[in-house]
Amino acid sequence: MEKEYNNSLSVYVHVPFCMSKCPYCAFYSRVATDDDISLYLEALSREIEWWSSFFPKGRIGAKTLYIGGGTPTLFSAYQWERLISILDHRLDLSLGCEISVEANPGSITKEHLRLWNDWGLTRVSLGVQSLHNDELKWLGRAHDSDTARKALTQIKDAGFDLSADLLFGLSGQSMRKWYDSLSGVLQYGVDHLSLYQLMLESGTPWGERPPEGVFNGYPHYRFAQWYLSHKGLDQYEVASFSRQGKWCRHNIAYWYQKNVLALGPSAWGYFNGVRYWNHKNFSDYLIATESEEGATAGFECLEEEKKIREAVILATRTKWGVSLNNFYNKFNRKILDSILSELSEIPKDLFSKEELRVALSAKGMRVGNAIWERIV
Amino acid sequence: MDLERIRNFCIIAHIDHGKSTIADRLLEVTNTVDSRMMKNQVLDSLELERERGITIKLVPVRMNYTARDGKDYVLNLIDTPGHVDFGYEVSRSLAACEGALLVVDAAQGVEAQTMANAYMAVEQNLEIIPVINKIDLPSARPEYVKNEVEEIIGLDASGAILASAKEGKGIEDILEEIVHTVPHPSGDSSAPLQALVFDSIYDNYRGVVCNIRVVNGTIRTGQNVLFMVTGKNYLVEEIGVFRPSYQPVNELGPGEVGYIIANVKSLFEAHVGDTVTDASHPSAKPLSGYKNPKPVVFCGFYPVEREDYSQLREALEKLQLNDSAISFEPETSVALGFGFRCGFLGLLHMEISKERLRREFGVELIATAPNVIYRIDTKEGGFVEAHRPSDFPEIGDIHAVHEPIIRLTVFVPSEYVGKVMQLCQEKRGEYVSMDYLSPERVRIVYNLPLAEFILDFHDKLKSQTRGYASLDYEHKGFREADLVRVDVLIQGEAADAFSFICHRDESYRRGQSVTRKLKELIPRQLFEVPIQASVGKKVIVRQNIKALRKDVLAKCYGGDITRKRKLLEKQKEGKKKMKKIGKVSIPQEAFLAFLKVEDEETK
Ligand SMILES: Nc1nc2c(ncn2[C@@H]2O[C@H](COP(=O)(O)OP(=O)(O)O)[C@@H](O)[C@H]2O)c(=O)[nH]1
Ligand code: SF4
Repeated sequence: MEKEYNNSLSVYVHVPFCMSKCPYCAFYSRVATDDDISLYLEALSREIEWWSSFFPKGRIGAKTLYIGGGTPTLFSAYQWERLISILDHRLDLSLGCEISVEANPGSITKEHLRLWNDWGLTRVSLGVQSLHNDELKWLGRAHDSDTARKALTQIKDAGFDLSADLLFGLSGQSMRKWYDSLSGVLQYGVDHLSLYQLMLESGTPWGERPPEGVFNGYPHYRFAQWYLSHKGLDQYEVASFSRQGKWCRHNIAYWYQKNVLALGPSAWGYFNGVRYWNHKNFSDYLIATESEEGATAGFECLEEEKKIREAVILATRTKWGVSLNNFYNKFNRKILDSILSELSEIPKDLFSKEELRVALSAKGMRVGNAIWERIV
Repeated sequence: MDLERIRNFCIIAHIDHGKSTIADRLLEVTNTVDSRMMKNQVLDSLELERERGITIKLVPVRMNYTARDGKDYVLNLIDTPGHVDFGYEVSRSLAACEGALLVVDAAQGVEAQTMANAYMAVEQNLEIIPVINKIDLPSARPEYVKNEVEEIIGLDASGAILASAKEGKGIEDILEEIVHTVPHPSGDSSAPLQALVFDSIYDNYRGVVCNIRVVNGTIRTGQNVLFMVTGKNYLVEEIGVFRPSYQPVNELGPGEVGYIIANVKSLFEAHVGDTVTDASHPSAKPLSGYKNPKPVVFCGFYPVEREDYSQLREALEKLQLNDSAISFEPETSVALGFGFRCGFLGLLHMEISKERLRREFGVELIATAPNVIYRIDTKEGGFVEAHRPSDFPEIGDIHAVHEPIIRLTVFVPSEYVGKVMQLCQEKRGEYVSMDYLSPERVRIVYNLPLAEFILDFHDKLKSQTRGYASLDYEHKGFREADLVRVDVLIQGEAADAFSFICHRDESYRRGQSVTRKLKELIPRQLFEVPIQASVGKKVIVRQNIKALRKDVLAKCYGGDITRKRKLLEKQKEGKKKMKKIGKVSIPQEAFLAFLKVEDEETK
């Protein structure tokens, strides 16, 4: 799997706007005015121009493109046309390129779908979160279950690969209700699911003042692992399930430390072993894109051992895990051996039984943190 | 100095009955200290003592007093430590006196330590002057308390002085009574020198300072003296008296009390109870009553951070300069690393030492649960003294185990008799006697294993009697008991930090509570972890910590990678601090909480 991504480039665009801020969300986004959006688009255009100068002929060839946020569907059709033209101006989207967008049930329109179709976009990831109105309300989401169902239908009908995000660990979320949401989205023909446990992260309102009823979602996660595999969706990563071949290649690029060019405020990219991050604050970002240094606020370059450890941790998030052939070719043998020997102290049933590959079993994925913590 | 003008006395009292306040008043009235300069309670000088309201270290003070008969007297007030842990030191201080003020609170009446101290004073042949203090209190019942002193202690209290240290009442009466009833010292100034060391302290500026009472002969600066216990010679550099600060004098004759500084290097060379004599004309015999106080309670001290081991050693060495009753030797624990096994005179002594290490030397340490010394006869006819569970021989090799016993006296209002007796029974106590001192007050005496006493007896007694009980105890030697060592195994590996000694009948219950506690405290691991308690090879309790079921942060985008890595690193750091037994990581809290397991289990 990772071979396919050799020497490839992925591009991530962060759209930092939302209709309102969800109490649990740790992503950078703000409630926007039209003015903000046009300022953002101009800054993005400057940023991509800045980067293009480093590429031969000013063309940035990409194998995957992901437009996330925030809420990209907050953009009007007009704003989307501008965004597309900014991207097209410098990006070479190869044939078969995966182009994904995150969409919100409350703001996605037929216009969006038409524009995306014309442009060649391939995947829509819809933030369904739940198919229960009480859960959606509790989460402070603007949409209800019917809106989500309508959006699912429209996207599928428009012919895109369809992914849905669902949250578990919600107050009052019985197994029955969780099953409803899971089986519900399957009925609309989703071929990819991202399942997230609700996390109370510091710096968010709920992180500071936790709501009642949040729980460790072990039964929910475990059920999803069982149910989805049963329904033909394979767990190819800790939080991701898909039908054969429908996995999100953009995400996989992260797990194998591929080059990712990240654009937009607070976006994180990775380039030839260097991880960098953009200015987070909106106006800092706008100002930085005017400067010669570009939008980058900082970077980190891990020393060899840490880098290899990170590589193993990231790879073992996926079902393909660490291919011993590839890793031995790529990395320092001694360091890799010592990491693998640390892993060998962990009970065997946490790993899948594959020759020449170190990957977690379903059980192993459930306790990933405790495993990675040992080898970080 | 004219022996007839000297009076040496001490004040003995149950805690809080007003000993320190009376001492302050005496110093004030005799103008020994300026009342403006007087910090409350001059004698309790250590910071720690102030906080706990107890006296550990003694300072003898010389007062000048012109009595109503117009004559000038020298009164030496010798302070005594206020806690049973320091019984031997108390006895040496008393040996330096001819009289004692027995202070009794007019509202509380006679309490356990009033009795114990009074008996010691009687044993030392002291003239005892009863003082009923706090008569200003509305609840004061001086006549009733006088009666108690007569009936319970057996002293004539008809002439007892009624005092209020708070209001300064009766203080002159006390001074007069001392002059008139306390016998003046007797002694032969031309006999060979005999001076009793009743205390020694380590002064950071002056080195070892010995507090002495001259019995016979005269001691002078420049004299060559011999400490009879250690057999070492020293040149006396300075002699003086406390007023209450150091005031040098040229010599001290029979009956006089003061200090000497003689280039003594450490407190090990200045034993309390030793006799100082002239090196060239030594006395034929030392003064009687010398004992080498033996530690009775032991525990391990370990640095919280392993690197601080040598710092802890230094601190202990320094502390020992100040307090020779502390003993320590290096030990290691699988769980806690390198540390020291320390011996103390009692539980309070242990707590004070720990606290002083923290405050005066800035050492953070983990103290393991205290234990006592066991004497073990082996089947092969050998003998082992066990200071800790790991000293116990294999169970099959043990012929008999003996444990230290105390005779415990509890004074308590009669309504709590049932509770106190029940508590003593639970603690494997053996009933000795019970007397009604009055219809409302009872004295209960039990023989109790010291090991049970040091666990939590004090706290339990306090809570069960709402603080109305007072207690005292004395050591009563050793008694055979059916004791076993219970080992704790974590995933089959012995975890020495958790093993303990207990009565065989208790082994199951205590084993249960320890394993249950560990089960709560050890986080789930990637595999199931059995925790067992065993006696010898026989497993008596088994619990399992189930394997971790879920630990995964599902969401992770590109930008999160660094953050997540840092999070993992932080967690790993945390785990590193944990001690490993076999493959199992055990948090520090488990060790700390284990020290408390005994308090909680029986609730
Ligand atoms: N009302 C009253 N309180 C007193 C008297 N003497 C001492 N106290 C108080 O009793 C408490 C204990 O006194 P202290 O001298 O520290 O007792 P010690 O533990 O025997 O040294 C303190 O709060 C004193 O202020 C007195 O004559 N009358
Ligand atoms: S819509 Fe999504 S990105 Fe925006 S605040 Fe809510 S969770 Fe965060």
